[in-house]
Amino acid sequence: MVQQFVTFRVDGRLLGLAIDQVREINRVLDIVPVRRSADYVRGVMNLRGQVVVVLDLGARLGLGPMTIGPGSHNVLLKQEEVALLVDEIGDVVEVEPPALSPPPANLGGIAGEFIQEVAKLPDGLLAVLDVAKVLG
Amino acid sequence: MAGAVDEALLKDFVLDSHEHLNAVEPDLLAMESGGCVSPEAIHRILRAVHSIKGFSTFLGFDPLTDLGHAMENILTLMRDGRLAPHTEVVDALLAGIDRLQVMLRDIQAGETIAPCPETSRLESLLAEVELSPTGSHQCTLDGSPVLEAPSGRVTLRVDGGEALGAAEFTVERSEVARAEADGRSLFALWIDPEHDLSARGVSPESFRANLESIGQVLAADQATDQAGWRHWLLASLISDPELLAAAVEVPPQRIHPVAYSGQPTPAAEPPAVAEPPAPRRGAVKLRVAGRGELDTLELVVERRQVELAVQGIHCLYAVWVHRERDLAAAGRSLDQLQQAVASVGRVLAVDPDGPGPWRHLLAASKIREPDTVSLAYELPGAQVVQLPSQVLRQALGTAAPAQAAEPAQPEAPAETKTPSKTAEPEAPAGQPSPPAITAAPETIRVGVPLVDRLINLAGELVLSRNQLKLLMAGGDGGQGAVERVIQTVDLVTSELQEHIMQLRMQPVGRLFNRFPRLVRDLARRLNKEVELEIHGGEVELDKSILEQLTDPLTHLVRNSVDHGLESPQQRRALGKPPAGRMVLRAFHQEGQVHITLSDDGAGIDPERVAARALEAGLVTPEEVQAMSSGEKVNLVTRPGLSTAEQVNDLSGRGVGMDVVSTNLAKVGGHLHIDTRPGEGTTMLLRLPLTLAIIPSLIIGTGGQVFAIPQADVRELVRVRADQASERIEKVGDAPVLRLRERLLPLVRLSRLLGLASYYTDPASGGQQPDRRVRLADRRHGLDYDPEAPEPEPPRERRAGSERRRRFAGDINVVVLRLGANRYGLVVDELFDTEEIVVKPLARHLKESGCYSGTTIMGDGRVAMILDAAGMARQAGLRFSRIAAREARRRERARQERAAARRKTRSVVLFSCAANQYFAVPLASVAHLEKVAVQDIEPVAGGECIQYRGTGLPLLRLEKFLPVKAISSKATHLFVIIPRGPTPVAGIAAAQVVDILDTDVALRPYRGPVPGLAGIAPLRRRLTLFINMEELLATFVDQA
Repeated sequence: MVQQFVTFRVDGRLLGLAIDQVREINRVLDIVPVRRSADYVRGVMNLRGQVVVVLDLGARLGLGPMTIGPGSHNVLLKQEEVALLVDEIGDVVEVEPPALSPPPANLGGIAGEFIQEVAKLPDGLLAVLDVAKVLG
Repeated sequence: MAGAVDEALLKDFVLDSHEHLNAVEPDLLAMESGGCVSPEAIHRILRAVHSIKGFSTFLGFDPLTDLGHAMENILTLMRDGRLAPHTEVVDALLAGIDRLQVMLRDIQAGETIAPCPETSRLESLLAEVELSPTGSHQCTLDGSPVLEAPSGRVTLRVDGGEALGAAEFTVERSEVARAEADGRSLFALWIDPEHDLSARGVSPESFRANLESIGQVLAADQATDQAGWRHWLLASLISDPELLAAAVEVPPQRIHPVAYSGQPTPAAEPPAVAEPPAPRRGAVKLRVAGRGELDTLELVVERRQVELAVQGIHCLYAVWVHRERDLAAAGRSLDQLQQAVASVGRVLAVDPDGPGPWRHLLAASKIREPDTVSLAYELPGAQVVQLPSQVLRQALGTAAPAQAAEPAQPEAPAETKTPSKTAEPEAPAGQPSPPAITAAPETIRVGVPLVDRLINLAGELVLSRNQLKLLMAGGDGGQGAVERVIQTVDLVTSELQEHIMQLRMQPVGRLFNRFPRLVRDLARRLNKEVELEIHGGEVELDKSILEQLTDPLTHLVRNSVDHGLESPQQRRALGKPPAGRMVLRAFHQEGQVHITLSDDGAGIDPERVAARALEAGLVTPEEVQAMSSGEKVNLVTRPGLSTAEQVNDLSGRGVGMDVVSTNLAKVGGHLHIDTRPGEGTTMLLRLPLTLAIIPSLIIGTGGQVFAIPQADVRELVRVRADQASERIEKVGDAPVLRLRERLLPLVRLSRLLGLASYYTDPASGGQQPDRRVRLADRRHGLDYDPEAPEPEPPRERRAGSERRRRFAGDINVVVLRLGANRYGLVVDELFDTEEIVVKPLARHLKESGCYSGTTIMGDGRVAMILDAAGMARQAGLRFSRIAAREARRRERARQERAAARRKTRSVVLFSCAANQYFAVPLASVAHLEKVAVQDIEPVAGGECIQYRGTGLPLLRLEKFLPVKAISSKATHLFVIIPRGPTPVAGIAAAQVVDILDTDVALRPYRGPVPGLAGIAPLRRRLTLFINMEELLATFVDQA
């Protein structure tokens, strides 16, 4: 069965999430920092009256804190009222199961534990994130 | 059937039932405490139980129905005045209510419910009442009808129908009761002396003897009545009239069972009937299908016996006896078999002959082990089957003979409790498994007026919106019209919010109502007497707060009864009334709900708490020393501390008080303990009205906005920049603010949260980022030296000398309340108080420990809600240390004040000999006279001077005190005349040195000397202070 992934980039790396795990993608970047919380908690934002925690995906994956730029977006998850801050949004890609393989111990500086599987795309490798791990 | 019960119905049932139960409890309590039974109360309870039972029957929850039924029975007796509300009865009822609640919860959780011991308790109580009419339970014994006869006798009237006429027996009530207690049945016999006895050559005496062999003759007519009958009242173990008829050789028509409750049964059927005898009223046909080779047993037993079995008074056994194997082969008859088992029980019914090989017995026994019974019968175990109470209950439930018990099929005869298939054909299995309503959303009952109001408000809102739309679409009216609409929207929104909040509000009485019961139970178990007063049950609290409050408050009440209140003996010894007094009160204060629980018990001994805390290793001795007594008392909220002398099953396990504080903190509440050892304790719980929307103080720090729940805020203090250096000091490394003679530990929010904080380099004067992020990292700590100015640039400039000791701008301190402690939060800016909508704290934000929630401000940005307790913890505040400093300071102040209070006295300083000084209070001196020595007249035993025309004796101090005398060379003396209408004597002095004010403290002289108050240095001279009164008294004594 063909699987669909939402792709995005953090620190230049191509990452993806299964499409059914993503609620929405937005550009609400008025993020209020929450001090004394984990370093990968970017802050909280008001999403249509709901308070949503934004995680700094760069910090979370060990790539270092991100800076908000023109391409920054929030990927809002379905599983929990949490958004992941990403540098750039890519496409929705379709991947045939044979193109999927288990993750290596480390993929471009990202610890393998955060990666569920790796998909071979024509233009490179897509690291599909393990949402549960990323949420901690 | 079970599947057909829809969830909505179940929910309704559970909800309704809970409501009924809540309404009932105060009545039950009132009933017991009042001693007298208000018919309304009983009626209410009865109605509630009845409603629950009715609904439950409908849904098929048999155990619940049974329990309800049992409670109903008891209540009916009470209503009819046949049962007084004894403690025992009320306890049983309360236990029943408890059980009902448990069952309801189980039903709600989708679990099956099982028959409960409470039912049998109630039933045995009922049985007891019915069995012991003369006992402590007052009840009437029903004959038909009952006529009260004098001296404990009852008259039973039995109607034998047209042919026989009525029989009347007057018997001892106790005899009837005993007969029934023994399980005997009463029979009325109509005997025709001529036909029944004489014709058969039976004398009345031998007839009586015959009767006595199978029972007890309770009454017998000495003469025949008009119709020619003589009546006998027989109590017999034989319960079957037919059997009895056969035994006594009297036509069965002339034997009528006498029912104790209800009418006597109609004339008995002829004994020999081909069909199984139709069960009569008061009799139950039991049919038990045997397993394996056993055939179906069908016997009629007295209903009463079945009821007793259902109540667990005894067990019923179905016994199969094989004609050949068990009787003929063993060489015994059925009768002999019956005799053999007299020790284990008695045979209720027997089926002595029949076509098959099996003979049947129904026996009642107190022995609950079928194996034991079968052994006693010398029968194979498989042939003795205990009848489960469910089967019996069904047999009872089917009143109509036609529906008499369906086959009860014990799975394996040796097995005792296996419930068999139910009687009703449409019922699939024994216990209908109710559909689960797991995770049922909570529901709130709302009054219709409130709903109506909300609908109206919603309508108004829609109208306003339409108006706005119109205006926006370019309608006329202009600015003024928009404003008017906005105003309406504003009003409607506020009202809407208020009313919606009301939906969640519930009276605390719901929670309070449980406490009379709890206190009563506890007091009984602890042999204490407690009077509980409840006030303010109508005060409303948010539902979720109320729920969170249940455990803490219950614990506090328990503690109070268990540890707080003394036993009646102790109380009497202390001169207190034997009954302890507890007051539970709720009231509004400062926009919060306060709940106080006061008792007049022993109070909490701070030292004992501290000692326990030390023992438990919760605190160090140093910490204890530094604590105020209030702080020591508050140690009880630490986990793992219990002050109970002994641990019992109620409290004292060292958990609880910490649960109290944690649970309270969860809902934004505070606990404050106020105790006076020996006099009592008051626990004050401060609670927010609601959790969803709370008034909060909005503050700003480091460019971010935060909210602090108003309930945590005690006051706002602004320390002027030029006062900062003197009002803010350090205890250890921690900064404290001197506030009205108290020391307030300070936490700087910017430091705590690591928000923009700068310090000025003292050398260069330039601003640099402060690398210290955590306040807990206290190498420099939060100090108010110039190294740590506010992040914003100084607003005003000051003289150079002040520059190094000042702040840039005033310091805003929010004084936060934390239980008994307080601390100050230093913030950049103070904004308004706003009502904020609380959003729960997301999982990822919890670990910071500083926040209790989030909210969205008017500008759409998210603001964190600060948690007073969490911040104090994160900042590592050490209240005990501050308190120690404060205590020392207070002590110093107290000493100073005491010194100031000490009276400064004016004294006359005089001397008699060189270097010997005396002082007398000026207040006791009337006059100083200078007299020439030659004017002193010797009189008998002394000297005299002329004073105001009379002789005044002269008192020389050396005669009374260990002092030197006045030099004989002196030409003049000074005489100190004491104050008073007629002075006793004047004191001789060589010289009056001075009159001066002093507050010097006297030290006692070596040993007590009458007339000497003490010594003290005065003007660097050791001075003897004279007690004028004492001195003069001594003088008079000697004179």
